[in-house]
Amino acid sequence: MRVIKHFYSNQDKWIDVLAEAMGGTVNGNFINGDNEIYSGKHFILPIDDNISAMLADVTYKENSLLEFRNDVENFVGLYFHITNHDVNFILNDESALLGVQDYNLSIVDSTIDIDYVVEEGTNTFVLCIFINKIVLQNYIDKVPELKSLYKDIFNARKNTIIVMDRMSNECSILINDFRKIEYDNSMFEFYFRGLVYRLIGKYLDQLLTKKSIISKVMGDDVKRIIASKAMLLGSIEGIFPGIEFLAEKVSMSPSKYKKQFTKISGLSPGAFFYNNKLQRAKELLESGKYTVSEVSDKLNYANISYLAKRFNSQYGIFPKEYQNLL
Amino acid sequence: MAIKISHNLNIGTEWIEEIREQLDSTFINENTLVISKQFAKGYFYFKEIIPGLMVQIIDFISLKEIELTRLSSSEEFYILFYNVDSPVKSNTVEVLNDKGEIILGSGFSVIPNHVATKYVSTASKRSFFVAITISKLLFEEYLGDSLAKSIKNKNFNLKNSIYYFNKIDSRTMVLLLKLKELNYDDPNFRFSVKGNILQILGYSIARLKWEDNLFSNKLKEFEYDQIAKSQDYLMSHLYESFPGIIFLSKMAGMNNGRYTTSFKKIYQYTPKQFFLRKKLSLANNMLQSGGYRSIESIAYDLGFGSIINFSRLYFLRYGVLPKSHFVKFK
Repeated sequence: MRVIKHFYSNQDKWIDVLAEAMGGTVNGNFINGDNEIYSGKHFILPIDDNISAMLADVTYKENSLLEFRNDVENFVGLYFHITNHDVNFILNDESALLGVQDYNLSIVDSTIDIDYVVEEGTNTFVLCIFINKIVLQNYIDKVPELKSLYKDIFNARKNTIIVMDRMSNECSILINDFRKIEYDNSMFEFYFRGLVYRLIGKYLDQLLTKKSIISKVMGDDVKRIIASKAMLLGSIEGIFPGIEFLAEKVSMSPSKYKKQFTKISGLSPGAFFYNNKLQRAKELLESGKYTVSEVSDKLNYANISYLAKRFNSQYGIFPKEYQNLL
Repeated sequence: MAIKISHNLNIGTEWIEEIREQLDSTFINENTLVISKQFAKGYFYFKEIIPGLMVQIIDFISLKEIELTRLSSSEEFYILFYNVDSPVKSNTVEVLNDKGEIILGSGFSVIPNHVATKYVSTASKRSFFVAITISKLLFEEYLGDSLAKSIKNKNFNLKNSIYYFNKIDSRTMVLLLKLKELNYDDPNFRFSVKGNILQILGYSIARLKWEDNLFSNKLKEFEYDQIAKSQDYLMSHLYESFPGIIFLSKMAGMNNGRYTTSFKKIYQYTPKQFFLRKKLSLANNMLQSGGYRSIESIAYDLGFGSIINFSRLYFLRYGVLPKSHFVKFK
């Protein structure tokens, strides 16, 4: 197994360290690489004095062990993962799966050493946001509702932070939208910067609603719900299959299913389904290939005016208008 | 009477002090100014996003009409101005240049530093707009050659005052509506604003860059010039009665329907409505000038035919009868 060792610190130098570790070449804020270990791109950008961010869009060509070591203690990393294979995340000899059907968001203190085991052929799209602890601390101090959460987030005994979680639906929509932007777009840096702020905002929202914080050990129920969510997304163009059907698929009672789903996703199964359906409708409209009525048919809406009504309540604008203004 | 506020603007925060004084507002933190309740309920938010790039979000419901005039500035920057009001009942933005005023309704415009603007809020109606101030250097760096090209192609050149005006595109609209739902005391307001503004700016720059010929599919450039010419004519004949659509469209070399719709696209009002509004705003100035002995003489000077008709129209526009604005000549 190939071992890749590098460290992050919220200073400019990590671009060189990372480039050297991966064997890539630095080009502005990008590291481009295509060698025997991997192919892909890294993009690194200091956002402001207290926040910096990195994007890794990389396919590994052999099984690799990634060791992240840090020499600074003052920041927290927010990692949003989108992968096609599962990635083993090892922390203090405890392993956890990061991947399609497991955690895809981790919040890790910079003092903690983390290793990732990545299989050959794994395509990872990881967005790492490094935030100075002072910023988080100030934020938490300002919001009374978060005081009780403080203990969960900051491990008082070790004074470190480690949370494994699933990103909210809104976060994944933001990231998926972002992935449509080409790397050579001259405004790439702008969109990236915007994405980082919005993700931080959404994550803090997620903290506030508190619904989606999962305990450190992921139970079977959680895995089932995640599988069920993936299934829902796979049949987003059809009609909503109904709670009973969904619950049966994952061998749960309907009431338990609904409760667990809401707890984990922060949205009820129906709301999750319809929000994603609307997002799909929006994408279809953006593609310019369909009329509103074709979109309504394709996505199995009862009629065009119902789609229009839902679209308007979600985005504040009617689909026809949305298309006209594109 | 409308409350009149005038202020400078630069890429910095000194100007906000002028607004604070005139609207008797208080800073609740370094980025937010809450307007005194005696004028309006709402706030001004201003924040540097990156060096050379400031955002202002203005959101209030005023008790009386507020006229917010931004004076022309010599510091070089552009203002990207987003007004999300519905086109039917919007608060107006007027661009003041030497040839008179151009009214912009809801939409997205790029305005250079040297052109003054006036925002007029309607009483008890929510005013919400977003303005991004970007230094000339930065803006030109992002736009690259296309800015120079566009200026050459006159796409950016609305009578040398506004560089661009069009509808807000749908992706931007969705983000702006999200911003509209936020409140300054939301805990993650700061992050959402920064993120959304950068995204919006990205869309806008991309749009300015790639939309090589703004009017190409909607309004041909020469047609634009023709309509501007007829607008000029209207502005210089405010003392006469409305010349009629047939006359104007002939002047612009278009058929009546296309002329009226194109005119409305640019100036937000149909030619007749536009003419009447300008006439009434002139009447408003004349009434307050103290240079006339009677309201009748103003009504007749402006070709209103009868004072009853004049009073009625004036009331519809300003909500009060002419006599309450009238200052008699002594």
